[in-house]
Amino acid sequence: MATSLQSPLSSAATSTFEELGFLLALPVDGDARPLAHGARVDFRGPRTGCLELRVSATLLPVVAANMLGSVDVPSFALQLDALGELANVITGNVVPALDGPRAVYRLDAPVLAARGEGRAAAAEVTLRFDEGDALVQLFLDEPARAA
Amino acid sequence: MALAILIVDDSVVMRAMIRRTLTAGGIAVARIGEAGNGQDALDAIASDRWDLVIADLNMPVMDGEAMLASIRAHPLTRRLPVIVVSTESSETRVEALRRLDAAFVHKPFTPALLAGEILRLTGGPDGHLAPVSTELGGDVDF
Repeated sequence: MATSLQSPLSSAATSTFEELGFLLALPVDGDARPLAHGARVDFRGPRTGCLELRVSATLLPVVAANMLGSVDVPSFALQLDALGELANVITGNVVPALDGPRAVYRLDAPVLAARGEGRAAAAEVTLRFDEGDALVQLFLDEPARAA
Repeated sequence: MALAILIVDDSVVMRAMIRRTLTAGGIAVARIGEAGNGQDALDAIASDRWDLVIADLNMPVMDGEAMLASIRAHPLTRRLPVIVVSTESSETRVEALRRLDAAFVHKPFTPALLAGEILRLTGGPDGHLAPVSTELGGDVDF
């Protein structure tokens, strides 16, 4: 499962940061940078689970300003709104990989995730930018569709 | 014709991104309104004239599908052009939206993609909409 979800998760995360946040991911080398802020999106459908996006404190204001087209640092509330929207878009783009393009999934509104899920992710990807790191993790509640 | 456009999304940042796309994408805009959910959008549609609605799907209070169904069910708004801008990737749900005569733009979108869809729906930079907007304005009761 992790292998089959890794590629769509990476693709969804990369394209979302690129097209919404105007940030191009760099090769990940060296130590991971501290993550400070997180957002989670729960989803329900043939499977249930959530996607969690956590970013460095130095990355969040930059990506939020880019999304807003602002040269000024957005308010923290707007930064968190931007974080939630990024998580929402990544989630919407990765759930089709779970059960195919015709499966219907409902996404809940993004919520702040102060701490990580504390369990093994079905797939995860780290994106590195000049401004910091972003960790995207996909968690599944059910390992397989009910018969 | 400059358009009156209502942007419906629960994310302030996404509404700002769409607003920026409109102003930077060559769209002739008369005015832009914003709503944070489907119910607020219906209230805005009931009280003012709009040429185009750009709406998210997943929103609190009333989601975009329910809002779209209400718009299509009312004789004065059934032809109001609607573009759904969403992360939705299910072919099943996208087909349902198209049956409700909504255009669809997938998130993440490029400014050019959204602007292109608006121009297609409104007949291009020099085009004009069907006179649906003249039917609206103050007397619509959802």
